[in-house]
Amino acid sequence: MDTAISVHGLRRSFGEVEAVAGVDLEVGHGEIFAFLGPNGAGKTTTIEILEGFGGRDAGEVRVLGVDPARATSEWRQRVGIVMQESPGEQELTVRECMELYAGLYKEPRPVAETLELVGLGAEAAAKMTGTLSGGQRRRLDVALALIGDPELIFLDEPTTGFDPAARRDAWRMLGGLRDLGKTIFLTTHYMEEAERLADRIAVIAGGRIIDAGTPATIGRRDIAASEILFTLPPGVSDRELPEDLLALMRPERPGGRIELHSAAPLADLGRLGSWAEGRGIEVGELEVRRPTLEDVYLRLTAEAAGVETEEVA
Amino acid sequence: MDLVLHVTRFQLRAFLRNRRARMFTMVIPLILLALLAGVFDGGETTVNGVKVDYRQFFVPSVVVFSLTLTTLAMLVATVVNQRELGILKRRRATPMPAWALIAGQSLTVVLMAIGTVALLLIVGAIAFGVRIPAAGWPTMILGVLGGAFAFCGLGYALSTFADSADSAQPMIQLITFPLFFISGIWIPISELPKALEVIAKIFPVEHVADLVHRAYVGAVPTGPVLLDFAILLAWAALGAVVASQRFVWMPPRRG
Repeated sequence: MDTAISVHGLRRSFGEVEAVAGVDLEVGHGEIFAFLGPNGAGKTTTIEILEGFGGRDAGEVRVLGVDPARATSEWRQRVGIVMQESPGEQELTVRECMELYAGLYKEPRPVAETLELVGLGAEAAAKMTGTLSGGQRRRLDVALALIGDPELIFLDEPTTGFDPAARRDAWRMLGGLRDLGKTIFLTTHYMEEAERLADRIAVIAGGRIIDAGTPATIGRRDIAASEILFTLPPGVSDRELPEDLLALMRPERPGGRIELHSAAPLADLGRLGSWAEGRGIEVGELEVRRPTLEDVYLRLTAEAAGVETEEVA
Repeated sequence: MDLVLHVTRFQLRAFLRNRRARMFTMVIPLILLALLAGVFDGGETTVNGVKVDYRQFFVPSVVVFSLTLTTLAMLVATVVNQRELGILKRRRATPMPAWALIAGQSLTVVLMAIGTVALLLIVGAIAFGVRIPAAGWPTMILGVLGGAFAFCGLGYALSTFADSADSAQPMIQLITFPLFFISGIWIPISELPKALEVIAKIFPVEHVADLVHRAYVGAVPTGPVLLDFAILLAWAALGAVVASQRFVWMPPRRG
């Protein structure tokens, strides 16, 4: 068994709507895999199938070597699930809640140690779950998914609703899980989160995987064109730019700046530099930008939605 | 089985901390008992051909009322609420088998119900002098067990017809209140029109009421008692079948 999750030709329809229309996925052991996609793209349906909570119409699915549609108690011992927000048992303290779930597993992790791992100290452990802050509740969710010491963890939007500081903390915590050798299947709407945490990314839209790769290469991001932005001093027209740079100029003026679309930013910058030097002028507000993961993601999903977008590469 | 007891222990603890649950299972029945048995002092009616005074009628009635609310209403409210909050899904995501989850949940409400009934029996005996004769105890036990089985089965079945705690509450009231009215709890069944009695006898509340009232007049488990119990078991089975066809663990989808 060389992969933690393998999916081939997965399909699932609800009435007329084909929510998942032929999905293929591979997630290796010990990998953090980010599954991205707009709401309604088939993300939740796919995860529910992988978690053993949803039926399918077609396709091969293996999670830890088992078809989750026939999830056994044995299999559940090895899989942890962090669902989208759930408030937990309100009338129990955090520690009691953990003890309740610990008792359902054969070889649970120690309660205090697990709470420690997600950053809930003794003070928080004594609180009623109903009185926790949003961030603390989310930590409890993660702790509950970890209590059975799973090999594979599903994390559905783990940091939605967090403030930036809490999100950084959560990333540190999830990084800690990677160090424990856990395989993590993550969904998120925050591209920075995927970029920080994920070894690999897949983007789903309209029930199909539209691209997959590492955060650096997805959507040909590594070879995608960069943007060179700058302003010219008053009295100098953009028409005076050298011919080959003029060819790269975009019609838009973001923030009043000239935008060049460059596949070879270093060479183009050099050309711009010698031209400006030759003219004895200085360009202002100079910036070179590579497409962010968010840019790539938005382009991919927009293309999938059939929206006309300009080719970037 | 250890798993069932484990879950039950934590659920009971959570229930006892819940102010609404305590209201439902302890305070309201005691107030009702005090009001009904206190106000209707004297006066007579007949239960299964035996003349009893009003106190002897209302004490068992309050027992049946609370038994129904603690099992049926509490179970539906809890299950629907836990489904809505994703707690059912989270528990299903653990290695605990489905039957153990259901058994733990049912055992919790049954233990709560037994506690409530015991409390009412003691208060009824001490404050109002209404006791179950020694001969009536086996019938009483059948009544509590039969009621618990039937209402747990039905509770799981009914929980599949509500998708939020907000809609579960009125649904349960709509079902139980008319049944209380026609099942010989607030009004002796001997004083109701025959047609209502026939309808009442289809549903389980009347049979629980019959068993508990008979227990208080010292009826031993013979034909009519066993028939009541059998009908309650049939309701439990029907509830279990409906639930097994319709039950879902997942919270209703948002959007």
